[in-house]
Amino acid sequence: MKELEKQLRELLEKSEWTVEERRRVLNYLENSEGNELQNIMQEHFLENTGQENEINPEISERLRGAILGKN
Amino acid sequence: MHNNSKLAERIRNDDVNAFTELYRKYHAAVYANALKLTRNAQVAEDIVQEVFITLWEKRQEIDPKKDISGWLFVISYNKSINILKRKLRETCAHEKIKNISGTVEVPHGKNELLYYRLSNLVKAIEELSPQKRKVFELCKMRGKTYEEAARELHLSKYTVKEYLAGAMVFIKDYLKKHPVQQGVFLWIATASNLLFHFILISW
Repeated sequence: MKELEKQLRELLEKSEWTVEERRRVLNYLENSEGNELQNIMQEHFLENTGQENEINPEISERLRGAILGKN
Repeated sequence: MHNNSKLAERIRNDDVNAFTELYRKYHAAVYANALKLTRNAQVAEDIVQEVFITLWEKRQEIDPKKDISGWLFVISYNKSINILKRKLRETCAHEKIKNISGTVEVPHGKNELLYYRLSNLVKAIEELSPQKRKVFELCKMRGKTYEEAARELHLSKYTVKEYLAGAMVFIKDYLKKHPVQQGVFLWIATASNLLFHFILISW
């Protein structure tokens, strides 16, 4: 289980996946519950909570305006 | 958590400031996760927009006793995973076809430029987020009005216009970044535009 999580973390760090890696990820997503990936992404979510700079502030404000503009 | 339950309570009561506070607190986390999984900044931005639109639209259903950050995580995670799966299925299927048929045959002569232009355009459309792609297909390829597309997709007319504007900007930008590497002849360009419109209409 730990090995799988380690492999997933390594894959997520890569900017490009090979054909074989893409197949492995797809196989994992289609044939498992995906708990390991969900745990990793939950950690990542917490690390980024409250951060300001991920989206360009201009884009962020535009998105917020679009959302609230619906009402 | 305590603060989040207060914010959730305020959102339930249509408090826009509470929504803004939650947005400021969590949009980066939603975006970072979506980007990590989809590997596409445009798609990640769309996911942020969709997640927070859903939050605002379903504000009456929020349970203040449950941590709203968990809800934001699950919704954004599921959206990102669905897009990742679709993308992987497409690329894996493409690889299979390539393996079966050997190299992809590229037409020669006049049609070569047209082939590359259309390939680029198709790739740009494929890179759009699912919602933007649907809006683009309905409005630009099937000639539906904003109202018709909005009804079909259960979105507001405003959102349809936003998505379509975003899609057009993205496609133009994509084509600028991926220029066709051939000498451009005006008549071929015109012919390809005409053919493209023909293909779009009959698609």
